[in-house]
Amino acid sequence: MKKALLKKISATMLAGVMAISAVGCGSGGNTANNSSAPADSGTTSSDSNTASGDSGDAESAPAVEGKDCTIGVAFYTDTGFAVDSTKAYLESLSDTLNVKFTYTVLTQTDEAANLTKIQELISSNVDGIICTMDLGMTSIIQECEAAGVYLGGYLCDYDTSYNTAYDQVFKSDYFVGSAVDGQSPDAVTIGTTMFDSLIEYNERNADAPITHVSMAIFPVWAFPTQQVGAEQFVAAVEAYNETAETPITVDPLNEESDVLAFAPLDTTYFAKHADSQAIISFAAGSAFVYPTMVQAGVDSSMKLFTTGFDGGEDVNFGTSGNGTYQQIMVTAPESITYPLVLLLNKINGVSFSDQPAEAERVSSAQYLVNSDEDMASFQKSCFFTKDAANAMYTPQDVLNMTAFGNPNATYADLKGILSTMTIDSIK
Amino acid sequence: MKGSGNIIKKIVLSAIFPILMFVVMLIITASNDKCYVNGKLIFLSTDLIRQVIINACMTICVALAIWLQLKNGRFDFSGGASMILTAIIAGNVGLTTNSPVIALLVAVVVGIVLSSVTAIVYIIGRLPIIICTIGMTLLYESLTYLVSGGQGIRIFYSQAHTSIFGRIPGVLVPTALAVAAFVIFTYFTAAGRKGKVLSNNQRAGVNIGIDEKKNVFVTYIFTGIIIGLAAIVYVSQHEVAPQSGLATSGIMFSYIVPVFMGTFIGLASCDVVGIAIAAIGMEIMNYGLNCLNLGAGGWQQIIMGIFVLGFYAFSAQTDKIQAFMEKRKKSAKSA
Repeated sequence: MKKALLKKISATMLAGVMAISAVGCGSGGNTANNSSAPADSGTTSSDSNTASGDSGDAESAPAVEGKDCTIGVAFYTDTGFAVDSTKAYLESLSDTLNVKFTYTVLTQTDEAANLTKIQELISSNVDGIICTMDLGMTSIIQECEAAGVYLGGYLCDYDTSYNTAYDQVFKSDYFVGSAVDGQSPDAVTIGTTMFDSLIEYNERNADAPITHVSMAIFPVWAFPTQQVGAEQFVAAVEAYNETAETPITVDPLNEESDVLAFAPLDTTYFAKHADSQAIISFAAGSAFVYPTMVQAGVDSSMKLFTTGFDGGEDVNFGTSGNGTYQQIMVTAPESITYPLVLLLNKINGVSFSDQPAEAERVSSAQYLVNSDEDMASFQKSCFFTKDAANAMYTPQDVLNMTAFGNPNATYADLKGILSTMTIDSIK
Repeated sequence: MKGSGNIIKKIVLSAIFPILMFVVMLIITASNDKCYVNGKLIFLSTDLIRQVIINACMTICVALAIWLQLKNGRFDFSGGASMILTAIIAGNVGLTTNSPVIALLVAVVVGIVLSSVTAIVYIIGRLPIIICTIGMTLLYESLTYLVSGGQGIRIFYSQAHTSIFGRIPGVLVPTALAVAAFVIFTYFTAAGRKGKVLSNNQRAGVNIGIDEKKNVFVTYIFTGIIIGLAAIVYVSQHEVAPQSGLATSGIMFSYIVPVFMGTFIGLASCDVVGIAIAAIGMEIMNYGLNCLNLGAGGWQQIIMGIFVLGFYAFSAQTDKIQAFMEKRKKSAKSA
């Protein structure tokens, strides 16, 4: 009898402890407002290319300190240059902007898993989220609206949402817009960019120009812009051949062998394109094309013009190493400034005087690296060094881009910075 | 005379699988327009030999590491994680020293160390092998994020002077060493022979005086050597990224098909030859599928799955087929 009573008391006490713990966990996130002054502008100086016009005004104007807040950043992968450099850049802004950053990784195939990841961020009391993937957006935006959390995009064109759920996503008060990784689908120029790089290569190597190329793309359903880019490239070559002394042959895109189903290029690709001297890969060539080139032993005899940078390409770039890579393209990590500033404005309850009514997806210029000189510049960038000291913008610059840090800041200026992030802008 | 006849019979029976596979794929590709470029059948290009050798060497190394444990009565899930961690460490050392030979030596040493650690945990922990090796897999996978700043190893395979063990003819060196290590352990060491007894009847083996713990440890050391050699081939052919969530087991399992096929084909000769022959046959099939543009994605998996299932179904009926043939022979004689 006594034993049973003891058991009941113990069980009640344990249940009580659990209940108190649960309550304790729930209220852990809100901390007191930290009133520390914004950090100094850091060691690097502004490039004066974007918000510089307003910077001067802002320096004289009394800057308002931003609220203490937390922003979750949901990447597409947990490692790599793009992720590491973006994290380094964001962390450098943390003190000046009074923002803490927390990170997670989304999946490329599972909507439910992505929703769970976003719910986890919301549960950890974030005030805003920057997302790099357009998968399950309608559910995600509903979740954000319910929780009062703002959402921005980075390295993603949100094409699925744009075409199938525009009203739910882009018209939502909680979606601030996205900085697209390169051109948005409305303004594709990658085909002509690839063509220009090929012509530049031929001009540098007039004694041994590339006269026969083949292509590789990802499936249209996933990356429609790559198909458009490939068509653009073929059209540019055809126009060039009308007057060229040494015409260029492009192998027509073979749906079966040249469209990579997110798997590396088949080893028989080179037998199927026996005369090709270079691959124009709109798909990520470092991960999906180059390994097969090495395996097939053609990495010394063929060239690769591609997008992306996974690390190590510089060793075999231009005239270095086996000289396989002749073009790479990446988006500057600083382009995350666009959604970040828009989120901070929302969180601080302010907006630009010229803020558009609906969220936009804005094309970001890219680092186009197609010569040894470009590579030398690229190696000084924040992307390559993963060092925020090499970033284009100091924390003070970014503060000056916000509506609360600089009353004269405009949306047009913020949008404008995305078009300036080219290889020439690297200090 | 009878001896030489036996050898010829063994060679013919062993070679029949890749030859049949080659003929079948030749017929299929030759009758398909997709496989012709400028009037030439791409299946018959020299690239076939290169790809089959390069891929088969990688498969043989991993398959031997899997089979060495399997034939000793254990299924080691940690083999893939050991290989990936070894590849990252050896690749980075090789890059720093600019020497593929040093990378190979480091790979073998690290492979032995990691396998030894697994063996010690298994022996001292008295854990079931599946629990022990899954635990070690998770541990080694987590270490892949700590070594070299979590960046894995990317450019080792892309430089001709560092990746010689992933290309022809260098790839034959680690493969030959792996085969040698397997043969020495299995046929020339007491531990190898005792392992056979233990895998058949562990209690009987222990009762006749076999030191099971010592046997486990020696087996793991030889497995470590083969894993190290597999790692150097792997890092010479691939980027190696940090792994998590038992992903390394998936990498290891992708090389497991020739293990089971090899044990059947090896009935005509020995298991190591069977595994090598099976690996070559499967790579010929893969190349043929590549020519048909079926080298990746769902169809490749379906075709491969059906073929492997059919092969296993057939090999499982070997005894019955033999008995049927014997019966027919006898009835023919009596008639």
